Amino acid sequence: MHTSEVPRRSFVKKYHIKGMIVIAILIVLFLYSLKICGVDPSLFVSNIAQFGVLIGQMSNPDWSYFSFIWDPLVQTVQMAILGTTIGTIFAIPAAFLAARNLDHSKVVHGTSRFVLDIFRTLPSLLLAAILVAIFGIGPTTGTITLAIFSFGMISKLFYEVLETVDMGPAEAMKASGASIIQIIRLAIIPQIAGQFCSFFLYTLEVNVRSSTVLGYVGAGGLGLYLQQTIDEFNYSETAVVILATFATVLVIDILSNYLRRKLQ
Amino acid sequence: MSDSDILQVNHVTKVYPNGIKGLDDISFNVKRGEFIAVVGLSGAGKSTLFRSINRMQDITNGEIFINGTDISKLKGKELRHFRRKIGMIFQSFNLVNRLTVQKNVLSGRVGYYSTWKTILGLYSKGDKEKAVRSLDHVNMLKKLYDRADSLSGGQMQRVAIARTMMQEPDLVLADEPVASLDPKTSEGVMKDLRNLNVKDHDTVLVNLHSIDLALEFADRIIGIRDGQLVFDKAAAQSTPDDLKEIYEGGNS
Amino acid sequence: MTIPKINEKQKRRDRYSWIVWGIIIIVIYGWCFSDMKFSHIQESAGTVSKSIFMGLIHPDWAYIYNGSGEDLVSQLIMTLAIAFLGTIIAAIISVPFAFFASRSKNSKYNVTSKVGTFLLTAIRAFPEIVLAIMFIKAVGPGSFAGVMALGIHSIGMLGKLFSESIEEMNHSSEYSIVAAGGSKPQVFALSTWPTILPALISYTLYSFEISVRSASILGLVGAGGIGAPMIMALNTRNWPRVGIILFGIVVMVMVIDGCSGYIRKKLV
Repeated sequence: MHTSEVPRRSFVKKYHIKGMIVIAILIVLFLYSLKICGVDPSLFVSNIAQFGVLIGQMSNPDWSYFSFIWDPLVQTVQMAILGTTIGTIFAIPAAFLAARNLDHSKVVHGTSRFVLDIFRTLPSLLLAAILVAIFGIGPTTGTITLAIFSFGMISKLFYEVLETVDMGPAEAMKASGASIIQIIRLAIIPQIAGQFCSFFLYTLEVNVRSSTVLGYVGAGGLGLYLQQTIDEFNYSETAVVILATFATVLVIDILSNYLRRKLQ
Repeated sequence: MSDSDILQVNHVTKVYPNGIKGLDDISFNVKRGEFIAVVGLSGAGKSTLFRSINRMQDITNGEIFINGTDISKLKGKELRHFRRKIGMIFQSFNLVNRLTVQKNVLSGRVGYYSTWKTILGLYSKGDKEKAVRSLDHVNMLKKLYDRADSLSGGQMQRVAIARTMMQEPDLVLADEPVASLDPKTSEGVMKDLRNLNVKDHDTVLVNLHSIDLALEFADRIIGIRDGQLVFDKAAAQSTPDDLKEIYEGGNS
Repeated sequence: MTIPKINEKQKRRDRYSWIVWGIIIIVIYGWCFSDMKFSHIQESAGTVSKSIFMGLIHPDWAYIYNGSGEDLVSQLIMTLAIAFLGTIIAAIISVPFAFFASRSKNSKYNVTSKVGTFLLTAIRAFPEIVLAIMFIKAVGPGSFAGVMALGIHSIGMLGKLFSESIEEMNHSSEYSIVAAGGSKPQVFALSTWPTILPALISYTLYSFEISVRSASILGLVGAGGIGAPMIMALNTRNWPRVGIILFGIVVMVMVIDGCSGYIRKKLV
């Protein structure tokens, strides 16, 4: 009756076996996770009194506490700026090593990428906890932490930009006998400078966010006061610390967004 | 008004909120079983006219009757039931890329199913067989279980025609169906549309850029310029010079 | 002759703006260095880093699995479970939220959309650790607090990503369902949902990658996962154990990133 035959589907396709299996696995994982994490919404009810105190005090911030945290707040921002800058200085050569489109062997960019990947697996707070054990308590450790963290993040962002560089102008200059320094300065940097600055600012935003909590493990900045006020159950002071964190992050975000838009 | 008129467009005007006139006092009637080409420059108001006929947008003034019903009065369920009988074919095919050809074709029956049946994909056996027949008509049966985004442009438009056939439409509106296809594929798609008209006796209105295709396939040609109807003749009596006038009018 | 003059002016203005920017940057860095209260690096830094390094190359292999539930594998699984639950819960909550937010953008509900966007920004600005500390007060220490913290934090991110992808999606296939007489729920089920789903899954996976990293630090404040044995090992200066935990976290994060990246590439 039909001019061509009706196609057939395999059993697996007809009954969407693959999709069913994926959904079944997800449900099993979900239930198993619920069990091992001890998720129990009734805990909300049994702890409601304490949580009520927390919320109650937090909605009454003790503004006088603000004068105590001004210095660590400034320190937090300084840590972030210095950490990001140091990280960036080290990240630039690393990015050149890891970029695939520049002349060097597969071994070089393969190894450098793997090392950079390892750097990026560690969250900054974990890094800070380890570095505090090494370097001791204080903002120096925080700065080093953020430097290492920025190094991992920026080098990846940078080598991805480098890989999108149009090598045409560079090759034209090479053919006309320019030195490698001249090529980088005149053919490569103009293409990438804007994006590099934009990524630097973006990393700075991320670092300001994380620097506000680093003090929790002793790496300097505002986080120390977060821990102290909570341990002393002074939630009205905690609220001030959180609001200050929030305001700082917001201000840096707005500034950085403004600058990034100007760069484009 | 005679009984054989399926569509009546009476003094229709459409003014957009920004003050631009999309349609300016357009009137014409369409007899059951006609194949009409609507030609004109892009921006002349062809798409606006089609979108007004199936109430994808409302008109500012005038009346549109389909099978004697004033469509501007339709609301909610009535409107959806009215649309079931109007097939619409788009320039950009508008298939759901992530779904199979079969599901896309079956979606032409959407107006006949409840929401939960649509969600679960519970189409009747009769409709599934109908989908096979429709796809066979446009020579796309072998792609039944392929994903829509694996098809070429011409194949997508054929699937869209099969989807329209599922609606058993009284009236088919094809809005620039071949504008994004190459000449050879265009010819094939136009033949499929012509088959809707000849075999299924559907009334077909098609928007076209190409004068050649209009002369080759249509019974009657309507020309629109700046939102106004400037030409309306049987294709057999139209000369290429007449049609040139539609495009260049005023400037020549 | 007027054109070169303008160029000259422009050039001079450019040069001035460079100088201004240079001064601003020097002032910022000068301020950072002069005002920064650098702490002294403790004298034991060398020996401690040597011990950590020795610990890293002689990890406490026995800790990997001992059936106690406190071992590395159990704790890593717990960490993944926290991240998984947090992400799934956030994704489920974010979907209706995102559809509502993107629908109201162009309508009279614009105010709600703005409030929603502000709320999402506010949630994102909260470090997950702060949320974890608050939830510990609400539900007691442990993984549940971690799940809640990550869930809320991820809503901030997924809500934003979801509503952006809904705003940018291609609506053309919706018209064909409307034209065939489909109702609003039918248009959603047949066209909107299948079109948007891959983007939603891709973003959910991305958010899971980030949540896995976050989940590995929640234990530092007592909200469950691998962070707890880590801080314990650091406090007791058990370097071989620090080594093996570090190794475990790095492997876990890399494996998850790899799998998730592979699936995301296949989805597109």
